[in-house]
Amino acid sequence: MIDIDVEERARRAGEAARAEAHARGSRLAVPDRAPVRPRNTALLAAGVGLAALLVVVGVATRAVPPQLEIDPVAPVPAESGAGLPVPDVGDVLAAQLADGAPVFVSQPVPGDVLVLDAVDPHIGAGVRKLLVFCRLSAVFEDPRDGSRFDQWGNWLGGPAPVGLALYPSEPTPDGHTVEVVGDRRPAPARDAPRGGPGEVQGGTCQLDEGTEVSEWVAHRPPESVPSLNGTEIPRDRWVWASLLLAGPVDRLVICDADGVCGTGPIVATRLGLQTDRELPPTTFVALARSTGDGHVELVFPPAASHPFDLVTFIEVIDEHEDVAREDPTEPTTRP
Amino acid sequence: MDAESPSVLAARASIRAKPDVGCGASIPWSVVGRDGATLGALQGIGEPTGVTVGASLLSFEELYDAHVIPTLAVVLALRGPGVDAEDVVQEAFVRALVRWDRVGAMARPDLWVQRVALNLANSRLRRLGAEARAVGRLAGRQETVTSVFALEQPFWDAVRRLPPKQARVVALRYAGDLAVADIAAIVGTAEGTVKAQLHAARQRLAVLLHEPGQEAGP
Repeated sequence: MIDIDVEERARRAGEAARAEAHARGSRLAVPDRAPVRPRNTALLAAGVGLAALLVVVGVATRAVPPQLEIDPVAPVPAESGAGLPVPDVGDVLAAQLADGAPVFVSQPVPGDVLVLDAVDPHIGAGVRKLLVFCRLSAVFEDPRDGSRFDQWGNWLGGPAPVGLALYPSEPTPDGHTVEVVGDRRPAPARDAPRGGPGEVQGGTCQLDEGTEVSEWVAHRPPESVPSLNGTEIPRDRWVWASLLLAGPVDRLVICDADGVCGTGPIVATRLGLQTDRELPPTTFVALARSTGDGHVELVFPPAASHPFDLVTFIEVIDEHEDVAREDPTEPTTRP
Repeated sequence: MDAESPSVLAARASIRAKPDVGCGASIPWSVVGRDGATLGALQGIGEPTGVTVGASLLSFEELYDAHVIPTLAVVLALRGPGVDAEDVVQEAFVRALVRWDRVGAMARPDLWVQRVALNLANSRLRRLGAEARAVGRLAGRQETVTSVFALEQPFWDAVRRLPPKQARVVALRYAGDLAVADIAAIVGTAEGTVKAQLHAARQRLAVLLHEPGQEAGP
């Protein structure tokens, strides 16, 4: 009974809204085809296009870091001893800790500030990747595989097994910054959220070209990314690096973009790859850290195709491959 | 180790993308739903699946003429008359025009424009912050062009007090005069979810509209 009353009232209100729109319609002009505005930034849907861009970067020249398909907020560099800025209520900042670890600083409700791990707990195809925060939905998202988390880092959906790990933090006296005061804490289980309730906004950033780039908060590589080989990747510190990954996957080596290879870390086991496949040589940008035990950890930027997508989506042109086999130019090996 | 790396020789090979790999065709992550499944609802819009589903034959001008009023009505209903509704709708149609080669090929370009308009309205409000939200709540008291819309502001005020997802489907259903299937395609959820949200919204509105101090309406 009540429902019917509301239904009729809603229909009447809807007609009134359309009448208002009709009255205001005269204020609008049909957009003109002539002055087409330049597109701001390439948006999110061009995953494969990015892949193609990535692989045509030759190794004879220094690699151009692939541009992210989003234009996120630049990460806030955190120096040792300095706090991380506190975002506005309801907002999130992308930041890196003193060791380069990527984090998000989130303030879901006034005074409730969290420093969350920005690495997706879902490891897809053996590869770790960074999350993005969508301001329209107030949700951390993995644009590649669909995991979602609220502003407290609680799991909302998707393949991730748990929520986001948390760094314990304390506000500084002025209230404008927080300091990380302890080690990374385990992530909350799916069914044991840590706080909330997380009010999820109605919007969505999964809108390809309709979504403004300013609505994303994400980490991205700086304009200039150093080209590092396997031995140059620092230990226990995360750095953005341009890397060439190549070879039979059971003997992967990391070379710099000039083809100079380090004798150092082997990454195949860490990446969990099948060992009977050959990886096309691929230049890519990732956050990298040497663990000191012969391995390199890699975390890929959000929305970027990583080399193991490329294995599926590219083919080596046969004749060029033949030429390459006959090419006497051996890459120099760094002593 | 390096001597054993034929890979580096192969590094001089040219590599090209497979010509049949198009945007969204093989990495359709832009249509990945919240549970990692492909978002079937988006196929109703015809993008971005990589496959054009029953392309619209509308020209841009025809799209504009047929849909500018309901698109504007939804934004007015959801955000009130004082939050630059016209600018939001104009911007949404400009975006459609700029990408008309793609948007015009969609089966339902009107749903794409409606969704862009909703996102723009939402993002403007978020960007302006709490102050704007307060203004938004008061928006119904701002000037309307027609008296009939002014009379219905108590209803839309109540809608704006609903959870955002419920408010959105109510505006699309009644101000946009859209079918449940179309709403599902716009908000990217299942039809059953839209029906449930509409039902919950009507239940809540019944309470809100009968609260003391709330006008019963015309």
